Amino acid sequence: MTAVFVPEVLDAHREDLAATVRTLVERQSPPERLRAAIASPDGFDRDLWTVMAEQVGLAGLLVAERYGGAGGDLLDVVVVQRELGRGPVPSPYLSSAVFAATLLREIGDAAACDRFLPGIAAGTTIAAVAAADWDVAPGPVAATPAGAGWRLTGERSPVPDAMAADLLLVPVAGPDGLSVFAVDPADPSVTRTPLEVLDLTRRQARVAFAGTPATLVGPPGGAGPAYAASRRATVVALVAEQVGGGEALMGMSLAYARTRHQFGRPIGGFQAVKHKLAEMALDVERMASVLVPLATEPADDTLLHLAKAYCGEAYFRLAAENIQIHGGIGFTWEHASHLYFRRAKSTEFLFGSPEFHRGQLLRHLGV
Amino acid sequence: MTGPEEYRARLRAWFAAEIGDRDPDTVPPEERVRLARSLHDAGLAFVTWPAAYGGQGLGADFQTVFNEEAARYATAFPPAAVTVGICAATLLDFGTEAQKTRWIPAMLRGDAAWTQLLSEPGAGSDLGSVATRAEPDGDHWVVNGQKVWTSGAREADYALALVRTDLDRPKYEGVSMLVVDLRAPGVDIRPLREMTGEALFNEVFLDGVRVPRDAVVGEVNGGWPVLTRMLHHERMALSAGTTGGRMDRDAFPELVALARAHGRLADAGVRAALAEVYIQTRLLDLLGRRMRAAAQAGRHLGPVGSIGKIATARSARLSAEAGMLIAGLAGQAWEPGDTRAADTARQLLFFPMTGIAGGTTEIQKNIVAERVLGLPREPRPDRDLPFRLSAVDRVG
Repeated sequence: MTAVFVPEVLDAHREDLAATVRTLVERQSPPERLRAAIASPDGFDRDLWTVMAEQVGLAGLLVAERYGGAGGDLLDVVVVQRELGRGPVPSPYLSSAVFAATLLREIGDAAACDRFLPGIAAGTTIAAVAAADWDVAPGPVAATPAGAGWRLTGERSPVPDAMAADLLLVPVAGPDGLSVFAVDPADPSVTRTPLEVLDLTRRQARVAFAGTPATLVGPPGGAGPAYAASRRATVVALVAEQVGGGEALMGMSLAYARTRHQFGRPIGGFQAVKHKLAEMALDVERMASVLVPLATEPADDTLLHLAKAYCGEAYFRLAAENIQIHGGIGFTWEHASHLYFRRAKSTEFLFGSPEFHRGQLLRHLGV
Repeated sequence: MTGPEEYRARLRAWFAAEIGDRDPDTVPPEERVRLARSLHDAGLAFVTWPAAYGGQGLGADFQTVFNEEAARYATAFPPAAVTVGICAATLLDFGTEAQKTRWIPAMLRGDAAWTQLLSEPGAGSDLGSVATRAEPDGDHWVVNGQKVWTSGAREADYALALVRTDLDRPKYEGVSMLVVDLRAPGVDIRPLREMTGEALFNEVFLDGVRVPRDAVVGEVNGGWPVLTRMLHHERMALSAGTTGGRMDRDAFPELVALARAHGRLADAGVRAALAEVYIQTRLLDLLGRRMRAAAQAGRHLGPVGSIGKIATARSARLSAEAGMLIAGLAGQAWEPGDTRAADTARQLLFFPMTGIAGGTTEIQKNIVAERVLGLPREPRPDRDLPFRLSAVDRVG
């Protein structure tokens, strides 16, 4: 994992994983390829995704070995997402390799695992979960039994990575609890409408179901705990992405402050700029400090809510300050600043706003 | 001790037996000293310190366990951050073997309290300008000058003092660090009353104080690197919890109790403030944990304690203002004997000190920017001048 300024203490295996992903991002996602990926119909680089899946095994990092995965854990994911967040690398990694893979694993429906996990692990199946908020509200998607299977009617929006998905997992809240359905998004009864997005590196869509054939995964109404576990893993991974993005911004601002000269000296020599950068270091160090405990102490829900509340806001502060330090160039389309700025604000609201998570935090503390 | 969890169990048992349900704030001073010694004699205090100097030689994870378990009992013990976290840590780095074996075990056991004699009326943020003189006289130094903002001087037995030993060298190259016995003749300690009404700090006048020649820590005229390391330890102790206590305190439980007492626990503004206090306090714990882990793994940390020091001061202010927000009118006028309201007001009056003592927030930001982030240093026109010339107003 990246040394911020307080050096990170990781085992050799994770150090290697971080270095591998970082090298991959540097070599295979340089600015021109990143821009091309964002402008492409998919919104991400399919060739890079293939390399990530086939050469580094990232798509199957959390998938058990018997399904062709690496049997890794959440700390591995944190290490990877931190590097992908630095890019930032647009990819369906979070949706497919973290959210969907964890959801299938946690539900543990043998037929669904056999059918979907090998493709997810290989990266040949991109899976997305039809959820972007903390809670799955009842309606407007309804599931009704139809013969041996089920049919879905209604719509869900926004759904990250829905356009790229080969498999959609749709959580549906019913009177008996939460159920998860597997849907083929290519079915003619599914309409996917791309949305305009603040974060150019994460495509999202509205997905409408009109009597769509669906396979129930796990018991009806019994997916609540599995869903909560996969959502937790997803939020942890999202926080790691925020930390990586924050570190990238810190590095970008520092490099500019050291080299940009005005009044005959580097702007980083002016105390107003120095103090701004010191504040940024304060945010970045505190962001980074949540990661390892978050990934290794899964029982601690207060930490999860704390991290999601704090890191989104801190990331956005860093993104805004980074633009200020860069001056005019900082708010241009060509400069990378706005990609982070957009992503920071977007991730602040995915899976619950800071305000929501502060409320959850107090609830978990019994206040 | 086999592992951190066994240590945790032993600590819990010890605290339960020795303090139990007593309010730690009500433990009298002499009892605090006894408790500290007893905890140390049980092998439960300062366990990450080398065994040769009175510790147990255990890893940083044990310190984390100690901080977690000891936090609620902190006020039942004399504060150790200065004696152990700062002074003993500096002696460990720079002291001779004789100095270390002579002083450190007593510091860890609580048999001797230490403080720092650093700031002077003319040397605040700019400690390189200290003008207190130490001049050789036979096998002694004779020290003359005035120190200020010395915390705990009346309770301390010894101090590490930054003194000028050569007027003709540049400012940073003519200072030395001396061990001064605060009971020695010529030491005059006068309390300074702060805005809280308390007197945590003092002025210390040194008038012909005789200090043995071998009481120099580090080299003669090599006091600046010793001071730099000492300040590093200070920021780590105050912010990363290397000795247990931090400069701020975990105000969250008290603030929740205050909000409950005022019936304001459902108030949206109060809830937002409570959540923020919890977040900032816990983030500091996590940052401290990461700093201790890195230090334990032998990684070079640099002055990252300054990051924690900035956050600590901010956290103290956040908590203090949250208390006032909750208390409202009752925080600015209260019945005599309403200790909760009095304490809320005290926290408000206390927080400004946290952004100044131990190095101002602005100086900490300079340090982070220059020595952690590698940005250009502030201009220092007096840096290479002989001190006699750069401080002509003070040394004549």
